[in-house]
Amino acid sequence: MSIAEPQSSEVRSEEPFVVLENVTRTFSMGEVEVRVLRGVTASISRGRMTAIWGESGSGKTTLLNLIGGIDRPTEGRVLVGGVNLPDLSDRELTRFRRDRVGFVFQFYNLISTLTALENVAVAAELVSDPMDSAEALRLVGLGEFGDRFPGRLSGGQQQRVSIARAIAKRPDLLLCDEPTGALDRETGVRVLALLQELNEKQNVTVVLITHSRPVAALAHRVLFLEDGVVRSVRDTEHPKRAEDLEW
Amino acid sequence: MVSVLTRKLLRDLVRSRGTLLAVTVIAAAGSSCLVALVSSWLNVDRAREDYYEAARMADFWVDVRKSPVEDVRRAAARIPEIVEVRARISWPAVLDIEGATAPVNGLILSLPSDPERALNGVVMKSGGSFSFGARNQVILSDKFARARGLRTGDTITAVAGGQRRSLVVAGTADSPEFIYLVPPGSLSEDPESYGVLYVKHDFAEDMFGFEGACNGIVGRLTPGGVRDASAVLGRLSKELAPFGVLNAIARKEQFSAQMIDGELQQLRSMAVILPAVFFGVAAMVLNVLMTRLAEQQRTVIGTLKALGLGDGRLSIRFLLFGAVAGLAGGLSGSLAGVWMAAGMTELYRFYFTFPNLSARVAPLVIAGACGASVLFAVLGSLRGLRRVLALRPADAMRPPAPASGRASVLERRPALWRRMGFRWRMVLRGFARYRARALIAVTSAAFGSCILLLAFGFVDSIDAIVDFQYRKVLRSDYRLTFGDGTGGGALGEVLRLPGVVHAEPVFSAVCTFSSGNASKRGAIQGIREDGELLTPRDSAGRIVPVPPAGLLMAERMAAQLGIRAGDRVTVTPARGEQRPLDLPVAHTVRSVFGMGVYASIDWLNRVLGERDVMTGAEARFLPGADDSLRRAFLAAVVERPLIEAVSDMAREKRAMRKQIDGALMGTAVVMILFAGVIFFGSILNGTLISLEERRREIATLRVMGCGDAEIGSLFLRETLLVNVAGTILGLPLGLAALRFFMTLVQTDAFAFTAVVRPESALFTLLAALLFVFACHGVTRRVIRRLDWRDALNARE
Ligand SMILES: Nc1ncnc2c1ncn2[C@@H]1O[C@H](COP(=O)(O)OP(=O)(O)OP(=O)(O)O)[C@@H](O)[C@H]1O
Ligand SMILES: [Mg+2]
Repeated sequence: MSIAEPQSSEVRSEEPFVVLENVTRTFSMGEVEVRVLRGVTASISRGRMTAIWGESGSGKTTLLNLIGGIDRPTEGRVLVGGVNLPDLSDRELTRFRRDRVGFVFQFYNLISTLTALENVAVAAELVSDPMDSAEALRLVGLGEFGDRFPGRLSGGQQQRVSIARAIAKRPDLLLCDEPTGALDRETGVRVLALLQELNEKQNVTVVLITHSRPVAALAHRVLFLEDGVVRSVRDTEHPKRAEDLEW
Repeated sequence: MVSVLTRKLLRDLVRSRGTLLAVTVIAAAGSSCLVALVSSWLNVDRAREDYYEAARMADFWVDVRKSPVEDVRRAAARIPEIVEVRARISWPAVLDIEGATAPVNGLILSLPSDPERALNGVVMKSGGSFSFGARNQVILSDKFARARGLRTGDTITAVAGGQRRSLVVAGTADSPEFIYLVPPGSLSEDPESYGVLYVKHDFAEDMFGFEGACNGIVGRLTPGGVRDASAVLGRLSKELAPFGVLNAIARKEQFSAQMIDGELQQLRSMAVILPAVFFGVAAMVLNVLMTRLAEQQRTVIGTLKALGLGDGRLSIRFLLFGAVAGLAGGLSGSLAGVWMAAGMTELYRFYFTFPNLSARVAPLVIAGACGASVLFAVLGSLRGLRRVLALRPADAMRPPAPASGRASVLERRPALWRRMGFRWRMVLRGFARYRARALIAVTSAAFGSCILLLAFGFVDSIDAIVDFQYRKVLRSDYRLTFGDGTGGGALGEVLRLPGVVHAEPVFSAVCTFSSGNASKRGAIQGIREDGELLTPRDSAGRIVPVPPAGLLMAERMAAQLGIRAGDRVTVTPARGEQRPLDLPVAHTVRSVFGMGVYASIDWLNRVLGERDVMTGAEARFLPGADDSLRRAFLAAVVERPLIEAVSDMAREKRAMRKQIDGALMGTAVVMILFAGVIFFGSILNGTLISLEERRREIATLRVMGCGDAEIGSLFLRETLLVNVAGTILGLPLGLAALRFFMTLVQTDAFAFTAVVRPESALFTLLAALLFVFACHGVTRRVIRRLDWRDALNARE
């Protein structure tokens, strides 16, 4: 299978897939209460690429964890596909992550004792209708590297393996937390181009976290996070191409 | 600046408290064993030495036929190494106890009128010693009197030497000769059915018609004589030969002394082996922990090194932590050891009668245990220390090289490998990466399994012996022993006893067997060729038919004499003219209690120039008989002065079982617990460290939607694989250890063979699995509570 044709008739629905309503998240560290998110309201559309942009410490990861069902908000609703995540039990949240979400992290988080192909297969085995693991690797341009252990791959290659791992599940939602944070420019561009391509050709809903303004410009929608609230939302039908990125 | 390291080390130690606890508990098990075993050994040894000294335990025993005391003294006086002798009269007795359903036997021993100063004297426990005047006084062995509820002033009736006498209990006493007292032919004590009856010497002379005569000598030797006891006894036996020597033994061969020696021997070897195993495992487990700690400390250590901290101070800091774990284990284990020593002493007090056996624990022993624990802990920390010292400041400032995946050996066999799921692959590659760690885990499991198999194997081996002796060889219900040389007509009398349905004669002839330079005292049991009640067996448990001519000899005796089936042996009987005979050995047989030699009773009579002589009979009782029939049987037995002793085989077997169940099961349970400590310690240590190292991996799997169970199964596979492999490797190790222990406890009196039922190997495996799954419960809990969210975005 090569990269599939765009789904059906190309009429992009603006159907909101993720809806955040007045989400707050407070961490208590002993006596001190740290209010990281103070009422985030936003929506993320299906099949689109959305960037969450903000400075370090602005609460991006915290927000992503809420969307991905890793964490629960202190208050507010996190609706994904119409389901309010905080209402789910731990077991149901696990199920949700397993079936619907793919994660990509800054530090790849590959399992060092498994080869690239096996790392992808671990995720694929979790769902009922996965992509072929070798195919997923080929999609990220690493068809030849299936037998390599992560220690023998460059950072960019490792990140692409982790993307392959995330998409092998055919997730509804691909959540990427600073995927290029540990990469140099050139490699970073390759990774971002891959995400963009997956979004366009596979119709995967991508949420991309970044503290870099140029990177955020690749998204259809940019949510600017500051002081725990969404300060601004910017939409565009024609985001920048990764290849044209100036860093 | 050292305090930074100290603080960081402390923080990491607190974080690895689970693992540290595992090490401490294993070390504690080691030092508790050491303290308990060494203290018990010292206590029993001291109590024994004191007792032997105070109550003047003899150095040798000689049993003779009726001999004039004066001649015996003169013979002994010709041997310069003999410094003192006492001639005495001993006789088996049956006690006539109204309404008894089980036989009660005793050993009558004569004592001089000053019984507390005599050789093999008595230590009075209650009542008084012999008084002037009253002749028929008896001093009872204390445990027997208590078991039967006999008190000073009570009267008992003893039947012995064809006589029946009423005896008045003057008091109760213990003797160093009978610290461990068992009925003849048995190994287990049964104080209710067997005791010693001390009577005045002149009373015994009178009762047995022994005026101026004796049938036993006990004596003391010069220190040189003690060292060379068997030669001295050989010369004494020659001097006494005209009177007929039935037995001549040195102290180390005396039954009670031998049993205590054996026990001390076992304590000594256990005191070395068990602590060594525990400390060894503790050191190995600590090794894993400290190596890991060294890895965690690299940045701090590197920084400190860069700032000029010397290796010496660094080493001391690092080793101190290992030593503290060792000391904690040593101290807490010593506490448990004091408690265990008290328990063990209590057990010894129960089976052995010492006048004062105290549960002392010497401070030096505790110091030794703590020292050993610390020593092993320091040894276990050395590899970690080497890592620390090898660290160059520059390396240390950089994060450790990322752990690289690595193909395991199995991957060279693609067919097998491809069929394996990624979970197994992770496990196997993990082993390939941490080989030392996997090896340590396997070794620990092997030790644990070794201890488990030992525990089960002890039980099996003793079961096998009891089964062999009481189900295969001895198949009678009662054994009757007659006075010397009764005619064959006695069998008819036995058959007429109420309840007896079948009886077979036994002719036991004491003799000396010799071949070349080796010689051995023993007895030939003449039995019927077609007998059913005493059936000698080979080591496979098959009946060896009694040949019409020739001997069946216990394997151990044959080995000691250096002869084999088909050889001939010189036999000098201790009766008649004592002419040496040259007899063929037809087969060898297995003998677990004593060293049996069997022959056809008719043939034996013939070669000894006798006709129809029997010294006892084996009898089968009416199956399902009730107590009234047994009472009638025993009442009839005491009416027959011919019968000198009667043993209830079922009761003997029960006594043995009871003792085994009491002492052995307790030991087995303790050993299983100890094995559990090893398994738990090693497994928890391994998984906790592994969990710590793989937080990120776990977090990643969690995020992908793996549940606790799936993540847990990764760890379970790892522990299962390691522990099943280790347990299987431990099985032969355990068998070897069991064999070793069995040869340790082997004496002429009894021989154990190491027997392990297949079920026991299975139980060992099951117990190991049980420990693995119990640990897995803990692992699952830790996984569930692991805060994995922070691990996701941390830098590697
Ligand atoms: N578990 C926690 N407990 C306490 N405080 C937390 C916790 N997680 C995050 N924080 C705090 O919340 C704030 C936001 O953290 P978050 O990781 O969401 O930021 P971020 O925008 O992702 O930053 P970066 O770009 O550096 O990754 C930070 O100040 C952080 O210290
Ligand atoms: Mg972040």
